[in-house]
Amino acid sequence: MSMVLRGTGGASGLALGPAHHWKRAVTVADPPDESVEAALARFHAAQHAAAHRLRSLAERQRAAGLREADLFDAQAMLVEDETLTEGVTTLVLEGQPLTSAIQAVVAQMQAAIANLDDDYLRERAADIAAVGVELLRALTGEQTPLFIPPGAIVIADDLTPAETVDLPLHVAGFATAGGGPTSHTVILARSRGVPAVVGIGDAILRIPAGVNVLLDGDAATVMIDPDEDALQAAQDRMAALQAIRRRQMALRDQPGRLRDGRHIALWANIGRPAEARLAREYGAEGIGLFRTEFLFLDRETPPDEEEQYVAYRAVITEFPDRPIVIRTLDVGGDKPLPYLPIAAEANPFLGIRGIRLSMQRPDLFQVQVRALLRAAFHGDIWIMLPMIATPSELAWARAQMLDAAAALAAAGIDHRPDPPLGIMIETPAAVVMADQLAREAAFFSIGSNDLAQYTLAVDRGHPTLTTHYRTDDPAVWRMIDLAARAARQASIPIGICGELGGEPEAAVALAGLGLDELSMAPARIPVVKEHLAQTSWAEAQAAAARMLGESQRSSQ
Amino acid sequence: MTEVILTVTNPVGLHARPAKLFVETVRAYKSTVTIQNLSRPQTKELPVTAFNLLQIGVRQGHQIRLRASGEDEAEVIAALTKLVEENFGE
Repeated sequence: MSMVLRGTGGASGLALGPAHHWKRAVTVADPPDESVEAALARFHAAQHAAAHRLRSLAERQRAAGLREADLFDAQAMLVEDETLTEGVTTLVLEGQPLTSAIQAVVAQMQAAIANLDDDYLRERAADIAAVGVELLRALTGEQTPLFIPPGAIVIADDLTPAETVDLPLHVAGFATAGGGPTSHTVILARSRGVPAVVGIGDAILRIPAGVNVLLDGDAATVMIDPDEDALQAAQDRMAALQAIRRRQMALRDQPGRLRDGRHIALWANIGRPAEARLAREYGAEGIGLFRTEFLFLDRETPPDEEEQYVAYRAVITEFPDRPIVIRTLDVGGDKPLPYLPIAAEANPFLGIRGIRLSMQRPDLFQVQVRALLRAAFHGDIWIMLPMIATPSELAWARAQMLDAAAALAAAGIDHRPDPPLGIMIETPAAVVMADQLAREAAFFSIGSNDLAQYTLAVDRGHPTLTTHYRTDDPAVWRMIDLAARAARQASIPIGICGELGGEPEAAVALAGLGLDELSMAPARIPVVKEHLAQTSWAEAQAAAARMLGESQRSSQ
Repeated sequence: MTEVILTVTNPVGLHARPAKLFVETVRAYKSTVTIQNLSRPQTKELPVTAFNLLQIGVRQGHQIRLRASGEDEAEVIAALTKLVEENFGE
């Protein structure tokens, strides 16, 4: 007979499969009559091993471009925390066996947090529990991973973040007795795209192994042994979701185009080399924006040429014969880097940022350009300059590129001396000077977010001016149109890499303005591609005219 | 002793990455640094460690008081102030 259990939260999606009870394989037995010295040595070794495991999980997450990496770093710090170390040391010195000393101190630490009158923080007590689990696991030494049958729904008391990311990829979903809606387990399940339900209570632990389980992460429910009707309804929903996905993915290997065949390239924006694979899976025809900031953030010294070269080449591996537009360092005074101090500015968005910072630190720019020219030897790399306002800035960058090429040639290092050098169009000055810039630049790419902010003179983060910051304002669209006309006049390609390109309606109008390429977050590509394929060139042009405010049917 | 009162404005408060940066900054200096969450009067003034930060539950909008004593107390307070005021570089 079917039964429904409710959880407190979940990770979106539906999954159906046999229940598989997951148990933590931690069996710690302290050696009898262990000396204090030996116990403390084992403790420190376990701390070291657990911290190492958590830091390498952090690296793995980071390499996959997942934000949750920081969580594992924070846990690694907790494993080595002073309160824990001192507490366990004291108990061991008093003669308590190591395992129970760790359990006691972890329990005290958990209790200290659980007493706070704050739901969010109470859930953080789970972080401490997870640290205890990781320490005990390290004490037991290496373990063979548990076998979990493909397609199973994993049922567990609770999962630590590390255990969650260690579950095999073939798991259909998981349900836990513990955990809350903001638990890390849920966040990690979401980033992996696995349906999950948490906070169900102990009842879930008593269901028979192998019984059919229907997991609904959106409703946070688990149906045990679902009846025919429930199965049918769930299967219909799954089929509908899959049909949409299949229909969009069927277009994957086709280029972006309008219904009557006019081509418009759909490229992807990425922030880390690992995201290039995702871009290809979603059918990107190139990389329209590869942000290089990830190489420069969270560190005390700038990345050297070799490190940058390796990162740029990594993207070529995924897109061997496709354009890869790499943007040079784009930071400003709103988030300065430790090794690039920028004196406090009243107006960081009108201050030292993008190309202006590069011009103040040509040493850093040289290193980046050298790495780019070397990578360009192996693939179709285009170099893109951020925050260009005047032709002289572009000329400066070109001179820098020539210097770098000459130095590489003199040293006999493989490189391409003349990859396409283009600019972001994100200042009104660049739009007004677009005819001159188009003669010098190899391509244009609209940065719609900043272009809207600077055109409308509205801070896009301003709390009470959100209705004034509109990327559908005709003023913004006329700016884009002017830049597109200048590009066409000079026969250079023009694309867009701001968020606007990933919105299906806007994408149609941008195609209507004659843009050659739209670059967007990889996951946006299938839906935009489908939308474009249903629109004719005449319809796209009419949509563009409306956005420009050229008819009574304005964008409002 | 050098003391400062700051308001934490980043969305997650002193947790995860911000907590990590905070503890690492304190470790980079010689002075002893304590923290008290003034927005949670029931919490105590504690040395800055990963666990203690978790324990005093600093959320967005909370006021914290930092006290440092040691040879580089002014420097460590300046570094932590910068970190908080710049939203931990986010």
